[in-house]
Amino acid sequence: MATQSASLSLRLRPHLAPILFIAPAGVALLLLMAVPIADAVLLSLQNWNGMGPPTWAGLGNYTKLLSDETFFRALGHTAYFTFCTVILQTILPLLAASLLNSGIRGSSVFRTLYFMPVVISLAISGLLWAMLFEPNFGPINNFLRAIGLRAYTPLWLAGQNSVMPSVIIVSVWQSFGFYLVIFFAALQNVPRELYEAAELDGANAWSRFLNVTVPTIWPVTLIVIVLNTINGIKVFDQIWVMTAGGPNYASATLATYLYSIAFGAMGASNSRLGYATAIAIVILMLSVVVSLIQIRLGRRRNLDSELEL
Amino acid sequence: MKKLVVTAAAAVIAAAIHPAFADTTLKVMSWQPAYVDGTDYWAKTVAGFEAENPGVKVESNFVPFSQYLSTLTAMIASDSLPDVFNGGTKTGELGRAGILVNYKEVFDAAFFDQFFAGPLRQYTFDDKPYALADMAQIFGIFVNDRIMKEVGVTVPETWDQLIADVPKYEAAGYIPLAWGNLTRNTCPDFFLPLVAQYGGDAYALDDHTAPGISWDSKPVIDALALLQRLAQSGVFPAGINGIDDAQGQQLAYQGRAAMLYGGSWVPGIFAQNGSKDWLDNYSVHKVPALTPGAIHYTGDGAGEAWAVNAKSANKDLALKFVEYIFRPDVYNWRAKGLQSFPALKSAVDQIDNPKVREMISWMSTDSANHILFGPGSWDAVSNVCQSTLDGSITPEEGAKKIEADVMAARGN
Repeated sequence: MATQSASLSLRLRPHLAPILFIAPAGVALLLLMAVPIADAVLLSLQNWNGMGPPTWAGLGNYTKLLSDETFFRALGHTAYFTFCTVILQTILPLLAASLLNSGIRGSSVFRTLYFMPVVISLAISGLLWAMLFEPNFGPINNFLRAIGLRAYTPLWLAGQNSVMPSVIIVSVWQSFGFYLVIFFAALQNVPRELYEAAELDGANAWSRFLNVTVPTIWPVTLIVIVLNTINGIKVFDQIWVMTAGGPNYASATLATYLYSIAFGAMGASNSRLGYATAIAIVILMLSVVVSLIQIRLGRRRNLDSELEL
Repeated sequence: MKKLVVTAAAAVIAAAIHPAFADTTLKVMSWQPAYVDGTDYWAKTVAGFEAENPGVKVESNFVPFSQYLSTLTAMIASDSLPDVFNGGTKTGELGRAGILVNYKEVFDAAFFDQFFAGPLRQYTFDDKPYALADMAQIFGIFVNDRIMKEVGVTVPETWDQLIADVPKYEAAGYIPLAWGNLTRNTCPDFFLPLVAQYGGDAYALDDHTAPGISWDSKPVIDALALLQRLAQSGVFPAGINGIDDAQGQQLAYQGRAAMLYGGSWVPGIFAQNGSKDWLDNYSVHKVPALTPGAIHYTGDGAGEAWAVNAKSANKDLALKFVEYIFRPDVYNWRAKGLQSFPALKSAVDQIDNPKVREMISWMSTDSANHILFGPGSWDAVSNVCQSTLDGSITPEEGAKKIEADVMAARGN
């Protein structure tokens, strides 16, 4: 018996140091992430208005979601926002970073200028853009009127059809500099010899971009895509500040809908915390599933590229 | 020595008188930005209470209105409500759940008689007043007389007159009546009194228990139809659902709008933010009526009302604080400082602004409910209001949708 435990102790010894190093972070993660997530899952299976004791609902909140028209509108807006921002917030910063990396004059000035919106809080930039978009005296519509485009002055945040494009514009403006800096750093690591070799082979600038730059920085691009996807699925603060999900849910996303269910719209009562938490769990699952798919596809592409080489 | 003994005895007696309140912090929370340390009249109020109650410290917490109700919801869920707070639209639910003190069990009839009836009624549920209005409010239209003269129109007596005059305002380059609905809470303020103008009762609709009462009834449909007609005729600014209250006021300050819809607290805001042109030329009038000579029903009541946490360990002290802040001499400091419509009738003399005094005079003749407390009511009405303004729903569909949403929120 004593020999057995001595042998077990000997086998565990090499793992002791790594376990001790990982333990603090593991305990913190367990307390700050796993426990609240488990608590949220439990709450999503209950009905609770925050006042009395919760009552068991089973999967009732999830089945209710299936017949909730507004939930599906919010899901559609979330998908629309995510799709557009993933495309725009990946391609535009990548193109701009490539341009800045090509050695144009004033590159560092442009980088600083582009990065400036990133340091402004989302709530503040939302308020600033709400002023710019104001349909009657906002500077954007004033400019359009001044150049003779009075008939083409949108209602921006107030229009059922113009509100989502408006919030996407703000999102692109706000995050452009952040992703540009990431791409710029990645481009700095692309070996110059690859470009020189491609140039010798007669590749033009566009061809060098497609066949050298894009494949070489693909792992970074994948990170940007995953970040944009997760941010898109959980987008809340900017939209809440600018529109509170309105007009009449025309810009509601899953997160703003969750918030209005949990806390009511401005001045509202009737909190449904269990139902709101069920939406939160859906957001979490969507983020995990979509990110896993993207990472898996990204890895396959990497593998294909390596095989081609 | 004798003096020392007497002093010591007095100190012991004083400590014995206030044993429960010694070294107690009373937590007070509101969305009124003036109720913070450093505002003369609030500081005076707090200092007075602390002086009368040795050992007590009043902690004033301000939460902006836009975040107030979500903060309150989180506090309710985490069982961490302050001792005294503005209950807002959650007052009814909190009171019925036994979380708020029923003031009827604490104060006598003479105490309640001090208040204007409308604000008191608003926070009374099942005959139990769960909150006491801090300041009252009533809505009206603020008119730029210079612009009206330039356009060649008079202040509209009826909604039809206002609609008929729209081409004149537009020809002169002005928005007839400005306000904003980005935060969704102003449209119900505007719309619910219209229901009263058509013979409906917003209290009964909110309660939704009386036979035959429903949101898809004729007064509601008629009021939504009028709201939509006003929007489609160009009475309101373009994109009203994308304009917030401050931007609506800017339209008036900058001389882009002839009139502004607002409550009795806005003259105080005008004094701080208004342009010279606006301050020199504005007057206040009742909202238009349906027909000449009809009642100009407009929103009354109170946004902020003080409630006491029934589960608080400091409940007795909290009630003492509420009684103190509504003592006429103490209340007068706040009324004088805020220059807003007072909830206590005796404090009307403290209001210097003739426009606010004019609005106060409407309370007994033209007031109607404009705040909803029932589960789901406010969300349902504010959402349909937005759709009615942008024309994406018909009045009939809107009324049906309010009814359906309210019933769904109440589990029916």
